[in-house]
Amino acid sequence: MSPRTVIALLFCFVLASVPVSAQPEFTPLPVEGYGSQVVPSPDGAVAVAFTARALL
Amino acid sequence: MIANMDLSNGMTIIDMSDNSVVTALDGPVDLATSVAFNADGALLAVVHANGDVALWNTADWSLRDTHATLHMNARTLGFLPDGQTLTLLTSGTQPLLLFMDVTSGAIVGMAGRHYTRESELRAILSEPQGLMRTSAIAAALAPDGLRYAAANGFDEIVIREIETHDWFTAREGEGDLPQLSIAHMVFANNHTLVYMLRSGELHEFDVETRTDRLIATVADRLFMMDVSRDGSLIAAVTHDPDALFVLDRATGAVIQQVSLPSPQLAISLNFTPDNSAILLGVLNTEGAGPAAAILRITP
Repeated sequence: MSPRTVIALLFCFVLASVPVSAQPEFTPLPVEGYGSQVVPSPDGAVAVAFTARALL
Repeated sequence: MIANMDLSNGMTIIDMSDNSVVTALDGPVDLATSVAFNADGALLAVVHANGDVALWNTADWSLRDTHATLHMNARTLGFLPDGQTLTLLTSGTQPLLLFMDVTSGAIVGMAGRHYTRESELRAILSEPQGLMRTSAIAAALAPDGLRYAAANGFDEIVIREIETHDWFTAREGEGDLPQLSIAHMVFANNHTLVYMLRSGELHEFDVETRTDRLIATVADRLFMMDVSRDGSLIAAVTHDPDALFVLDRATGAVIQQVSLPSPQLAISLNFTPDNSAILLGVLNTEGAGPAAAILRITP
């Protein structure tokens, strides 16, 4: 293995060791309008979305 | 402006496995103010602004029953562990807790502030900002339904025991002017009340030891909070920084922080039951585009 390959491998190892703190993203839910409240069911299988009271 | 818009009662059921629409509920037309599933998820209760309570079978999303309560503006709906009793908690100027039998629709109990003489209430209301002393800005019911907490406009928190009618002050009010600082409270378990101050502080009050603990100060301003079902996590929407925080309730340590374009746009905040995600309802000033989103919590 050539010194250049070793350095390249070492560089890759260092890169892989650096923690990546990507900003988590919000995934839109399929409800549109001026605003909704969203409440999950007890098992989390479904959620109910309804027009937000806060709009009034 | 928004109050003049056509806000029909659009209720949508979303499949959380693929974020698709299961169905839209077609029933009572007035705006829904709160919803609650019973413990096994077979029943969905919806209270509408006009006082109607609709009960939906979640197996086929058929309307099982509608009960008219004539009690308008119930803000928080819940089921007692018996699955048969629905609780309607009203904040605002006449805070009241009603218990409804879901089969008959009968109001089987109620709780609220009792005055020995009506003149006591009149005396309070005659004071400057007296209405703020009798109003509940925020309210929360313990999971077992045996006690509830109410915070008035002066940030005074009173806890009431349902069965004994005993009550005590968990937090003294502040100042001569309304603070309106406690906007959200949630019982993390049957004896621990978690509440937020708009100044950025998250507190918890232990009913058994009657002690208050500062959990964390997360930002310059707090808008909204929720506690996970197992009581271990707290989600908070903040300003400066404009963000959604997830904190460990026991230590106050920040587990996750996600930037928000504008915290004022957040209008509902709920953990999923397994603590894997947070459902965020948002104000959509354009009236088009997504009005809700899900954020996965990083393990």
